[in-house]
Amino acid sequence: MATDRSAEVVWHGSLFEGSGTIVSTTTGAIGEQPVSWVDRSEAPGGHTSPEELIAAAHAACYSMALSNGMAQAGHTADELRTSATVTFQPGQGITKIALAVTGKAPGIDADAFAALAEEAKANCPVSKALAGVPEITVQAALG
Amino acid sequence: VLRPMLQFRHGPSQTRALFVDMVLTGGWLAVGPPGLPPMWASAQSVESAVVPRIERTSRLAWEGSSARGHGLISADSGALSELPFSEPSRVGAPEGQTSPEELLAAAHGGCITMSTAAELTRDRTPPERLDVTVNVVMDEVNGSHEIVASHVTIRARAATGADAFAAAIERADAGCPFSRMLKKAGVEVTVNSELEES
Repeated sequence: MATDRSAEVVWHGSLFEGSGTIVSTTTGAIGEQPVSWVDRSEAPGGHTSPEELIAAAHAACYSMALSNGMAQAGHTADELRTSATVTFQPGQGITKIALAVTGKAPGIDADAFAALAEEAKANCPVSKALAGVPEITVQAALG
Repeated sequence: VLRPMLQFRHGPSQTRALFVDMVLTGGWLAVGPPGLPPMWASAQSVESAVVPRIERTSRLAWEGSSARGHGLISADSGALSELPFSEPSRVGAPEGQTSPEELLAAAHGGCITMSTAAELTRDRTPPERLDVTVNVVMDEVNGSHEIVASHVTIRARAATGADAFAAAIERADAGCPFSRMLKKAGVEVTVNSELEES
């Protein structure tokens, strides 16, 4: 069965002078997020941006995929801490996403964890939807 | 094509005009002819030096297996702080919790909204208001979950005509880096648009 999730954006004015608000209409979970060009391209000023939301979507998807891979290999993730940094290059779009994960799981060695971390990068649905990004890297460590 | 290059040295507003031309509306370099002449290469390096690339980071904490565990999503800007998410609320009833697919919908929406504002402004008809909805669909394909579609609906209030509006929407979709990225990965992107009288 298909899963649908929606968001809505309201914008007023030109790109540089205007501003908008993003709302997650399926759940309302992200509240009302103000967005503007200056916040997106310069200092964020406490406001989110499409690139930051992609980073959040990817890191969330990745964490779940990794926990699933670990469970299938017989390990429980006591804790996974994942960050995703999205790089947006003028003229090219998103050029790189750097994932970094630190895991706590009893009885798993570093090599096995690193292999599962790579596998999760390839398998998570958001990774697949971002297959057009030239470089997606993952750094995995046990901590 | 090179005219904005010459202008941008004169001030920050032109710098932004160049940036938006390159980034939001298809990217000269991305659509440029094969075997770019030296001027293109210098345009890229000068432009990159003036407008630094953009980086944004989010952080996640997860505990437990995918089926029974749960996690918290935060973003370094501070705009998202410890939003809970889990597998059941991701694939089943959301119960007020966000998910990667909802965040992707929000990201695509933010991007294509700004591209649309840029295109209408380029036509000298900046939008009075844009209402954009994005619906991201994840489905099972060959036994695994895949994001199969992102459906965009744009309602605009702007002092433009139907033909110019349709052309601006087409350019916005072709130029929005997120639309391009999703299409490249085989995700279906649809854009419906409607113009309200300004």
